[in-house]
Amino acid sequence: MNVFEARPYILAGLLLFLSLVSVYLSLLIGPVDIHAGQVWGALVHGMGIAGARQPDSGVLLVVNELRLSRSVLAWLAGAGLALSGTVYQGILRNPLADPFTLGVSTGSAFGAVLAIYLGWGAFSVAGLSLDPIPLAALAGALAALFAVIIMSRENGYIRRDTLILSGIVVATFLGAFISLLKSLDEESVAGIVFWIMGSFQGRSWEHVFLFLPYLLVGGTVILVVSRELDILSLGDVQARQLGVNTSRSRLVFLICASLLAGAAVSVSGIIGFVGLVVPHLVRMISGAEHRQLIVNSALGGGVLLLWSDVLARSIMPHGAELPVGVITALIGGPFFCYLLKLRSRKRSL
Amino acid sequence: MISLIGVSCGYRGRAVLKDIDLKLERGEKAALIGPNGSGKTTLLQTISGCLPPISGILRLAGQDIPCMRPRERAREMACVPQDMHTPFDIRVISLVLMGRYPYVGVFGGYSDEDRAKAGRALANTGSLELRDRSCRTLSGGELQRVLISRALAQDPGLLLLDEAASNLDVARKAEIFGLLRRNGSRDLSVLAAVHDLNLAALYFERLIFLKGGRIVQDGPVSKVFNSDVLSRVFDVRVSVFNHPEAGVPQAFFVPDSDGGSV
Repeated sequence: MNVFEARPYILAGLLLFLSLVSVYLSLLIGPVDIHAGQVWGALVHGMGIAGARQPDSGVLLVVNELRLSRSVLAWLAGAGLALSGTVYQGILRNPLADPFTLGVSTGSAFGAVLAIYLGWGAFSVAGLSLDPIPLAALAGALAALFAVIIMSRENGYIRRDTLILSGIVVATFLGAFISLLKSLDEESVAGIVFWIMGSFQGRSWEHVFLFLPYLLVGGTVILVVSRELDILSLGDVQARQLGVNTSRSRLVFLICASLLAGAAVSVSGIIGFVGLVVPHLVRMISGAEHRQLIVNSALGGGVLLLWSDVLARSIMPHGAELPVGVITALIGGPFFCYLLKLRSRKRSL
Repeated sequence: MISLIGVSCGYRGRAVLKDIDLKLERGEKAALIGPNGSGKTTLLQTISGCLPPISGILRLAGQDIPCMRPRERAREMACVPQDMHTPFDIRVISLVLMGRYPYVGVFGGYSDEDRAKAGRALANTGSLELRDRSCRTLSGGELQRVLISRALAQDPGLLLLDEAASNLDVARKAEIFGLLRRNGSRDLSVLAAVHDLNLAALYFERLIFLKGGRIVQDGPVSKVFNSDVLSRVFDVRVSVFNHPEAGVPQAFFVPDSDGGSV
């Protein structure tokens, strides 16, 4: 195996290691001072391994219930967004595509905003108390995806350009509805705005378990058929001549990636730039073959969003929080410009 | 290998080609020749199953082409495009392995046999040293060789080429066609849209002339490659002489008498 072949594996190993270290380090940061040994003790205890000493119950609560669930959720959502962005860029053959290009995020936001506007409270199913906002957001995402697919079907084929256009139409239309709801109810505007900007504040294991199945199922399906993503990137004509059922294949990717994006938005709000920037970055380091691109983007997206969330919750004094979407946009925007410059310089050489 | 009976095809119901009858036997190698817009690409795309025909019958190895599954079609015929519009950062061997896609299941991976076949296809086009290069770093000629390797890795009975050498310089063109001749086993049928008439006459045994969406002439080089046919197809005066070494006819365009030099 030469360097070119080994690079994706090295990157994956590095990112996996970085992910684990990052989750641990993120548990040390917060308004309550807990030192490294206590965090380790709480984690060991949480995993059911009998430690030498029973950790303090307050430490257990902060580390295992508050910080760990939040860090894990931030990592998972980042992984899901980056994965979904990779797939969108592949099937739309557009490097500027991201998980939100097809209006899934706006659909999701519309669902959530509607739930906030109508003031739906928590309800319980089978003894479990459920937060209605993520569920409404997920339903909104699915409805938007469904509308986009219906609109872009032409004689049984889904065309790439009509897909993007339908996405823009659906996003604009639902965006107008969100504005309408905001103007109807001045009181809930702050809540709506904060939700739309994206945040992991107050998220718990419940949200982790709501999101995890989508990441596992969607990620697995995408990974298994990732070979088709390589072929689809060559364009429809070549893909069909190589034996790919392009319509079916694109639909599978579209549904998986949109479910992932919709589920991520439903637990965290709209967090931009992760799904756009991370695949580009990975592509520059280890090439454009999708199998490794998918794995490495997911790992990289996880690390990026985890640290963005740590910044969001620790940068302001007195425990105040910034929406994490603001952080990713503030880091991601200039960084993306830098990537574009770097690429054009490479090309001109 | 393929037979077309009364085929009309085109885009969105507008027929570009009308009433095409064409038969290609197993192992036969034919060039499609015609001016721009005569429908060469449309015909190839229709045969390859990418474009549904408007009417008529298309058969490949006894099966109805529009009814075949994409995977079945890809095992019977392979296409070499003019170029890859966006050569992206993927290894050469991965691109060639795509030729094995129709042989593996959706959930299966490439077997050692698939890898060996891809390697052999690269070796057959003299491109083995490109194996681990990124497609983005290849020259036009190298990329075409790799795309031909991919088509050969598909193990097809029919090879379709859509001006596979048109963007290359003379030496690369000759290299590509020579390579096809060397790799074209007795059983491999080839149908190639060729822009350069003289190269077509040098490397193919049968020429099919398209004009205005119809086949205007079809036959062996010695029968159809003459100044009458060529002048009619290309709307320009053509003189034909024999190649000093190869002995096949070659065409020379005659400028208008009032045209003078540029």
